[in-house]
Amino acid sequence: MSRTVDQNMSTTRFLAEGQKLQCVCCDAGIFTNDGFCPSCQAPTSLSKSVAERGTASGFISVLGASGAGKTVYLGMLLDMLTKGTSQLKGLPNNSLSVAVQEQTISALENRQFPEKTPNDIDQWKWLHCELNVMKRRKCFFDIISPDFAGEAISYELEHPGTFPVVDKVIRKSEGIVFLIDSLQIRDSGRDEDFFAMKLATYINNAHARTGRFGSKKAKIRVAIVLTKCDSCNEAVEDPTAFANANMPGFTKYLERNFAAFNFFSASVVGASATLVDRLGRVEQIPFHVSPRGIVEPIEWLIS
Amino acid sequence: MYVDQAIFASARGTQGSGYQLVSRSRGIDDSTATMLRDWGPSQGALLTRDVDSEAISYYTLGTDRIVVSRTIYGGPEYSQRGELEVFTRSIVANRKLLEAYDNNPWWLAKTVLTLGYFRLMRHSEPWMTEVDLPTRSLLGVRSAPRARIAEEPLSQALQSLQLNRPVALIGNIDVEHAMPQLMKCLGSPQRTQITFTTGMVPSVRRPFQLHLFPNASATLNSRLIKLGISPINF
Repeated sequence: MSRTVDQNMSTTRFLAEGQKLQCVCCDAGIFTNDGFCPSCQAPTSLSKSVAERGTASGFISVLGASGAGKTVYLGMLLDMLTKGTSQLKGLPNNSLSVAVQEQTISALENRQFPEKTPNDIDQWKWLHCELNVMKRRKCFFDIISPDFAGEAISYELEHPGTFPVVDKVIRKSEGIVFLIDSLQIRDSGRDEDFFAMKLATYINNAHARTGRFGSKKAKIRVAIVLTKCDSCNEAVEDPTAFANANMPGFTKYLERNFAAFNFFSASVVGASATLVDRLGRVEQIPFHVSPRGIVEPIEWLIS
Repeated sequence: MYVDQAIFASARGTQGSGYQLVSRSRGIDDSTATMLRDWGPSQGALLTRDVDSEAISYYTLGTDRIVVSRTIYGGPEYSQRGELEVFTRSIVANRKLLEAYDNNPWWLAKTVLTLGYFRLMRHSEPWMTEVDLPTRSLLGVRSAPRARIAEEPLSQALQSLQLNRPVALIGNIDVEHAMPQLMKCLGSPQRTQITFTTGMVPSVRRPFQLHLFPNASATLNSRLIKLGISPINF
């Protein structure tokens, strides 16, 4: 199609469909009346919010397999940042972010974990908040973090291009929080090790660098967070040793290919129990909210 | 006539955890399996939390294969979050099969349902047998196409579909009455091209042209508009 026809069509769409702006994930041109970016399917409202703020913003990806705890982590993180810590304070920038926090805190207050995140991109929640680093003068910036469905990450690893938004966000990320279920590491053999290696390979490919003497280690910082540590004391005592002992392939890969990574342990509840109802549904019941190790990975990423 | 089938549900297995194609017949190759997975509904895909909710869907895979499926709530979801899994059983067939059903995918879906091939079943085995379908519909009767529909909402929906615009019918709908009416008014080739679902939440990854929703809600309407689907109240 000729450039003249393209320009006429864009003009027509502009007049009919509103202001044009840039997708925050893939940089494609979108219109404010579009619900989602046609290229990567990120919500237009997020791109509009970022454009309106006009401040520097960066992605921090929270990645992990299905059931690793991404939704709980993001919701609790925003809740703690809203209250503020000695080093960080955060404020949500739009209703999408508050939805993440609300979903998690409401569920935990009702003695439940949040529902499984659907595979449908248009149902994902996106964290977009302003971060204030307390010990640095006038240090404000926005962070954006989507609450990915675990299956979306798995599908993208197996068939790159299935969920382009995953690829775009990881490429734009300035830090990665990599969640791994500590109970699965301890109890389910090498499955978590293999998945973690696949994801680490994917991240490395997205951030690969080459120097004069061949490939160099990826500069992106990776915080590996072992979740659900309320039920796995071994991961609390020494997360690095726990990972080295149970995920040897993954830790070796990190040492070889990433310049900066660190292990953390985290939990959101003090204790939990397993409930089985008459239909055979098995449910983990959180007893009380007692977050540990939630903010420390973020503090390390931005330090 | 033997056709392929597949189950999309939630499981923890050697291929990974979460919603995936847990079982399929041998005629479904990896490429078809990937397309089925892209259309596969996961948690929250059914419109209501009623344990008896169901959605009948029809869509095409490329130019030569069609899929009819039924989505219901199955057993407990594997990840111990207290929910029921969303279970989808699909029949995958060559487009030529539809000719034996007067190019009417609703008749094909109802025949499969009547024969019990959409029932909930255990999905512990990765491979399934093929399904034997009759060479003609058990339920529908061929009749001359109708030019118009009496009910105004259905008429509006028909006009949108004929202009290739996605549409959603919302309200107190009798699906068993509405779908045959719409199929009767669409021309034979167009019937095979109109993808539809009854009771599944709209999503950008499942671009159905016709949605039927028995209940309305403000969030549903706003989502439909964001996805460019015209809502028509019943």
